[in-house]
Amino acid sequence: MKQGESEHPVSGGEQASEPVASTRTFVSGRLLICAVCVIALAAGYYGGRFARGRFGNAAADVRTTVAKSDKEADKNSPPAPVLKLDPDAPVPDKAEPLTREVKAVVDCLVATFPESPDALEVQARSEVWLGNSSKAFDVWKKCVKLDPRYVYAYVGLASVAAERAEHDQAVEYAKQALEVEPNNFQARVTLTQSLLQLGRAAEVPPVLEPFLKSDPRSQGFFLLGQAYSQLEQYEKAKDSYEAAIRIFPDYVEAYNGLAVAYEHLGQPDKAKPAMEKFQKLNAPEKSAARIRGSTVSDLKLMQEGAAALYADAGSLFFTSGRKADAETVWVRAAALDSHNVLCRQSLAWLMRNAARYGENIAWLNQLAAIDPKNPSYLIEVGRTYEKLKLLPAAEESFRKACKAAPANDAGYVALAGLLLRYGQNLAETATLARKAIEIRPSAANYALLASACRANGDLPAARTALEQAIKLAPQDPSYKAALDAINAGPAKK
Amino acid sequence: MLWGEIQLAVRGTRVNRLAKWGLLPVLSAAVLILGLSCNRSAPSPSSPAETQPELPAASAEKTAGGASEEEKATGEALAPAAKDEKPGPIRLHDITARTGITFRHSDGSSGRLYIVETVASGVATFDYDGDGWTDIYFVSGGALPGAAADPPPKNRLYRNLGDFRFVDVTDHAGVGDTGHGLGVAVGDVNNDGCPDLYVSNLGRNVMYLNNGDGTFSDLSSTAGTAIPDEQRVGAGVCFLDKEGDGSLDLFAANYLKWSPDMKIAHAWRGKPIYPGPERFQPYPSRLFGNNGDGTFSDLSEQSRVGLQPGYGMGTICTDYDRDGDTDIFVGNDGGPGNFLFRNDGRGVFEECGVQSGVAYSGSGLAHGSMGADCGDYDNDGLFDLYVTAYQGQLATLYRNRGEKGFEDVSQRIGAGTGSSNQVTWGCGLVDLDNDSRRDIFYVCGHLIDNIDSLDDTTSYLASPVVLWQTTTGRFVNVSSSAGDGLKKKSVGRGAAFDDLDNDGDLDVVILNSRREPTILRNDSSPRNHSLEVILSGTRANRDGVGAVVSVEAGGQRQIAEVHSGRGYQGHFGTRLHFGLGSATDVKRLEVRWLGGKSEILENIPADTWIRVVEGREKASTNGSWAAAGSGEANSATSRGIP
Repeated sequence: MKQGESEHPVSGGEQASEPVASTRTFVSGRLLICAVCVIALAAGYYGGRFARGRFGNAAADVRTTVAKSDKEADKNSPPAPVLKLDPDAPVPDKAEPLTREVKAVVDCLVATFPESPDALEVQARSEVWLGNSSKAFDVWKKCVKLDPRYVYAYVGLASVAAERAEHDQAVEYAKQALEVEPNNFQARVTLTQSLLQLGRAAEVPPVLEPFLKSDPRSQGFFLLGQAYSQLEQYEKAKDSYEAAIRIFPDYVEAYNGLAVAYEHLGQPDKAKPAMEKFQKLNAPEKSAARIRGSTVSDLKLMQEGAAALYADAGSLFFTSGRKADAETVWVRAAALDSHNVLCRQSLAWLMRNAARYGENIAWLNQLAAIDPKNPSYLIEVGRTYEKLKLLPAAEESFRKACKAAPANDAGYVALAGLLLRYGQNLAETATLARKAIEIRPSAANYALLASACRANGDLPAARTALEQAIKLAPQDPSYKAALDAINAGPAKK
Repeated sequence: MLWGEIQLAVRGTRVNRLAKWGLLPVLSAAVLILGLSCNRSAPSPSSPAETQPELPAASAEKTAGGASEEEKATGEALAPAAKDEKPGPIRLHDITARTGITFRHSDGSSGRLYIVETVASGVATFDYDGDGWTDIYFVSGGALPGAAADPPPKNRLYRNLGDFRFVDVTDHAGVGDTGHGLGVAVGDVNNDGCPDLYVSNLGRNVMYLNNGDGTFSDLSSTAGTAIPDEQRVGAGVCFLDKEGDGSLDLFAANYLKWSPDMKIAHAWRGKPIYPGPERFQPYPSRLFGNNGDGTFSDLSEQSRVGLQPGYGMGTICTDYDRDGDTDIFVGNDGGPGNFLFRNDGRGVFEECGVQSGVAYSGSGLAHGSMGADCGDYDNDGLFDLYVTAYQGQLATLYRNRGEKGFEDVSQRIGAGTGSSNQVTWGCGLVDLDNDSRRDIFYVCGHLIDNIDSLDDTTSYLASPVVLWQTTTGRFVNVSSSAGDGLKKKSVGRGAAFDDLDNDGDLDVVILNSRREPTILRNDSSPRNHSLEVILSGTRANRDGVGAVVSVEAGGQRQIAEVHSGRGYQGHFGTRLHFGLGSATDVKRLEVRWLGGKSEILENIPADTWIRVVEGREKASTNGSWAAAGSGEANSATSRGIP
């Protein structure tokens, strides 16, 4: 199954992580630090204003003052090939200039970091992007020579071998990847698919089952179902397909597998609804689209691919101190792909650290529009506004976060916190805190309720809430201290 | 020889093999009988009797040990197999250069990337002149707008002179249609014992009636089967007797609606490529009922086969549910998945692809299906289906589980091995080494002609693949050790499998897009035995299309069905072929004619081919049938069972 095509990222749930696994991103070594920072962005640490809602020119608009502030920092950078990329140039409307542009960026990257497996990895992926799997294969081979534990090269080698129908080789490379990084999902998927192609289904359950216990994924369960079907163990196949569907209720192919398994188990009454669901989801237009890339031109796909490469290239530039170059390629990535999350997260984080709050907010708002059910970006916008003391705007952002994800406590917590910090709408704070507790009865949320109750003068309720917080997190001394404070003296308003 | 007799003829073109059988003395007589069997005048340029004496020229090539002198010289027969792969016994050698075949397929292309170019055409192998030698009909694309058309490309008929020598008889036969040809089927529509041709085109289809004298008459304008829609892209076609009335009806799958002015373009990585079918409107299939007077009636709607729009390609008719009537399988190039039309016995069909498990692959995908073949690979008495597919999809073997429907077993038993990075087309579920287990052969070649510059995990030119079925029922890719015939890279489309040299094994004809064809001689070990069976219906249709033959030999029971139209939009295998392994005779042979009657023969010697005539009660009574030319009686019996 083409997981990335069918499954949509859903905030907060298992599916949110799945597309990332299926379209492996480039994070390694020092880049990991950068990635951690980028991910941390979603949890939020910034502030600002000038939020923009439109995507079109926002990338170019917000970038105008970029290079200036980092020029000083770049003075000390070692001499390196110059990145010739104009992020404000019109996006190529033909493949050839786009290809040229990407090649130039990748060449610069590799010339700058000739011994870096990360740079070579980007180069390998750019070759795959161009359809040159043989060249990619050679580059990945170089990667493992430089670093025999470079997992992404093994994953790449395995995927190319599988594409060429050289499944024995794919199995070997995928196993090497898993030796280095046992939790690498993509390696596990490639290994499984190649084992199935080779008719070695018996080897699949040991590959998938222990892994799925700790990291349940729909695609993993689907492949497990395929393996058990091959092994004619239809009870287990049925269980696997059902597990896949529990995680991803619109998993088209899993319904087909489930129907077949039920047929084999002699339960046609259960097979029928599964097949009906399969057919419903498998409308002819969807089926046709899955046969071949059905677009008139794949330029958009090429642009998206280029953006993914740029997002990773930017991380590499950034971690080596070339912030301006990092920003340039990230901005270009955003221009090429209006839905690329990684480059926007990176830019938001970069802007926040450079105290360029307006641009920070602009990128965060773009992220919020891309992933409207994820409250994190709106909360970050609110925090930036709060930092800038633009409190009504902050409040509005937090309220938007509550609306975007009413089943997530983060928005309520952020809004209650803001109101408490600035003594606004105090009566509402307890309600917000109670809502947060309803969603997630954590010690922190009980402590928030205690603060709200205390602020509203309801000390008994505050005490009760703190006692609950202490019960949930006895190791945290702050709750005990807060309780002691309430018990010691009159409540402060 | 009169119809109504059961004939035993001797096959064999090579002196050594015939000598081994001790049958050399009967050669001339056998050929004479075969040559007369259709009671027709000798076709140009020479009669079969004239050509036969020239046959032994290449016969000394092969030694009793199975390796030819050629193999010994090259060491190929002894070449080690690929790593981890036991060499199979299949050997196929490319002998195209010495066949005299000069046909070169044209797809009518001129760089405009019309979708009708790249799907190319099928090929048919059949004995058009009844001389006992299987001839070849190549279908070609015509001159599409923008392409050079001087002289216009046309379909070609090659008469088999024996010993893999062929002569172009197209013009004499009058079958050189210059339309943009896609599919072909062979069937005796007027039951005169002479096989007729139906060619599926872009626009008007063509029906050629065999005159029995080496020529054909074009009945297209009167038969009512032309489907004269200029925008219709034809596909696989089949003859079938839908209600078992003894006359052949016609099923024509169609691909899509297209015209050169549609200007549908497609680009990948910035380069123009052929568009996929989903960009066009699908075109429903057609079914024509035989009126028995040289005309047909369009029954597409009332038979219900015309109600399902799909991108039809390869098609094959088979009695998959063994209920005594003929059903129709259509491979569709993408959604809505493959069709299986179940016949209610009266010529009304219910589409049950999804319910029966053949619409999608085991992983629930509607493949871009291309070619389709049918055969009982596991000898369980049920016909299984093999369907080739687009790149990234496995060529799929659907195992028939009877009432439980079909199941995709491709991965489980290796039946799709080697196919996932190629576009696969013509295919055969055929026993290439006569070991009584059907093997798989499929041809490859991408449909995007500039694919090598866009995706180097696949290729435009590709070698065919042969998967040998082991004793455990698994299929093993033995292509690398199966002779030079598997090494040549081309752009395979149609493929046909028949015994071209009458030596008891199946040879291969491949139609390559924009190129000359490939002819592969089967030089697999002659240790195994075989039997070939020709059916002559009297109440049932003349060629026995739809009849099922079962043979019991060496403790094993095999079945085969007479198909008309199969593979990738082509035709082959009218003469049924059974590999018998080490068995030197067939204990029992049963023919179940369409209409329900059966014929049973016993104790048939191996390494022969026989003709079974429906309802030959005399033969069953006297219990003897003649060994052609020898005058010897055989102990085999035949009896008609109502």
